[in-house]
Amino acid sequence: MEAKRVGDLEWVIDKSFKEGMRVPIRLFGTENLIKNLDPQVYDQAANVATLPGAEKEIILMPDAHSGYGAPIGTVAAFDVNNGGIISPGMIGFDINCSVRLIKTNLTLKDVKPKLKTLVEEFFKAIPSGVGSESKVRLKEPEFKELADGGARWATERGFGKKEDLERIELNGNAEWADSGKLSKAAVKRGLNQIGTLGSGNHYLEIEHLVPENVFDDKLAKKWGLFDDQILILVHTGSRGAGHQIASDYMNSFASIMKSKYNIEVPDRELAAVPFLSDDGQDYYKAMGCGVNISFANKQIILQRVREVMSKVFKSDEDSLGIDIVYDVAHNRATLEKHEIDGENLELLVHRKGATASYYPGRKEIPKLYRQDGSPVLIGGSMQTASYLLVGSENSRQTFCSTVHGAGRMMSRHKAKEKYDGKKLKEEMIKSGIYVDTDSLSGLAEEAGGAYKDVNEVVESVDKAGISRKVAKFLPLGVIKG
Amino acid sequence: MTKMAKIKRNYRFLDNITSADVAFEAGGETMDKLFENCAYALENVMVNRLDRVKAEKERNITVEARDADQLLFSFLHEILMLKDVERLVFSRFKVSIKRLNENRYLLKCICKGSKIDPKTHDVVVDVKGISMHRLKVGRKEGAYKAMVVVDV
Repeated sequence: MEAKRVGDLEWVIDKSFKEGMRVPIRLFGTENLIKNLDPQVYDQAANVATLPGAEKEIILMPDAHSGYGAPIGTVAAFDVNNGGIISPGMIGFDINCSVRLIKTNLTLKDVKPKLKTLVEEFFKAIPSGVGSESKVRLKEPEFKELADGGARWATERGFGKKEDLERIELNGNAEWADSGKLSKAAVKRGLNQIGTLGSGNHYLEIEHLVPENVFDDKLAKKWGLFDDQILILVHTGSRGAGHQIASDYMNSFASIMKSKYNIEVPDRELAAVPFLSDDGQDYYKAMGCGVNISFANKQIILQRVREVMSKVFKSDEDSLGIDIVYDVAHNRATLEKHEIDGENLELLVHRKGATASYYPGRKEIPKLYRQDGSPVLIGGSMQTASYLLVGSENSRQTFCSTVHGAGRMMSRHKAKEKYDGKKLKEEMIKSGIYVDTDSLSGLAEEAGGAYKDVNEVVESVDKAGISRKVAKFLPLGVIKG
Repeated sequence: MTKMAKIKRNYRFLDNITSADVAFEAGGETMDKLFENCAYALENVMVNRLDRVKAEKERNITVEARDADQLLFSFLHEILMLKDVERLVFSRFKVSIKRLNENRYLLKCICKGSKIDPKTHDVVVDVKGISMHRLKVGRKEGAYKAMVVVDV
């Protein structure tokens, strides 16, 4: 094992691991999780540690696994006033890929008899899968307004209500966004995909809160949870537009970083430029559009959830109490102040497959939750639990970041060989999880067995005091792309 | 009983490069063939059994780049654009690459396929982007080879 144990759940890889590392790497997790990290993770994280302006440490989360460029589950912060960079590859193609938890007034008793209908109606109302097409038709100028306004744009056009914004990170709008920084291709790729779920590990799930799965009664109650409650969890991002923004700027940074900024990186995928350069600012503003597109996308999905549930339960939306608990991203870079060795630094915190987990009082937390700490949502694999956590004091150690999911441990190709989609669907239905998908092969790739144990991943950050458990949800219904 | 032959192409998926995303390696006797095989591999990440995708719609891709790696990246990226903008999946590619000078390659490709339809196509997973991570076009024992990692 490459990492040296420095605490019960903490491990360190020092700078001597690879030439050019500016800072060490700190990992969080149980011995089992760290022992089973795939070997590419270390090398990829070490590459991140060589980037200009890297501060203090590169953090690897217990759900870390190899990706491209940087591992999924990496947090890296760069001092923007000291040449710190911005890197699209450190954010990922799916800008602002995020999880939204929606509560209802319904209990298991209400939903069980209608579960199949509910899943089928969601499947019909929310386009999902490869090549799925939006039912919301936008023209280019409108799409640009959406990219500038995010969830606010959506509520102004009748997708959800104004109060929804109080329960979304950044209040659903990256104010630094500028649609003037989007390429034609980004707009074109995004136009037909607003309000769609996508595929892969994206999903909409119907969740059940079993009474014994509430870990913090007071906070759960304050945030509107109750025993036996039915909730909806949505995992999706900025779709084709976001993917194109990432591609555009990765490509352009790769060709200019050496000649214009004298920056060399060990992997082209980590192409980077100084945050405070014109090029850096252009990407930051375009990335902000990705953030907005993602929040608007989910605002439209929320509207569909409200419509479908009111139809299936023959009740108006308000009396069903369908409201956001929280919406939080795990692929983004955000400008934040953090204290490092007694100094208050302005850092661009890149989180790739890592969720913001702010301790109580931080100004990044929407007012409604500020004194509690930020809500954190961890989507499990489709056959296992998902979690609601809250940011706690020790997140100071991780640039206010925590895990984002179970974390894959098996390649998609291997999973497809091992699991049969049709059989898996039957097994899930037999075990009480009703599933609908257009892709049985895609379902096989997402089998629970392809992922790490989400409980162990979450226990690691809970015990490390980074984010505390509030509640855990079990899936009853799944819509997969 | 006659069965439609499964399209056999020179590519394979790699298990030990990335667990989150998809990596493949492709080969070809010429650069044209290599690029075609990369295109088949990319479509095959998104749709199983490409032999069931009818060649009923035709599109042309033209890209230019300063080197072979960049050319491959841009070519595969154009295929993703057609997937998102027009919802097309292709089962036939005919690539022709010209080296105009030392720093300029030109690729033209005729792609044939159809609109993605989950009812008739065995769709798998959307590819979000072509990564530059370890992307490399090279020559080995007289044949062309490339490795590509895509984000799903």
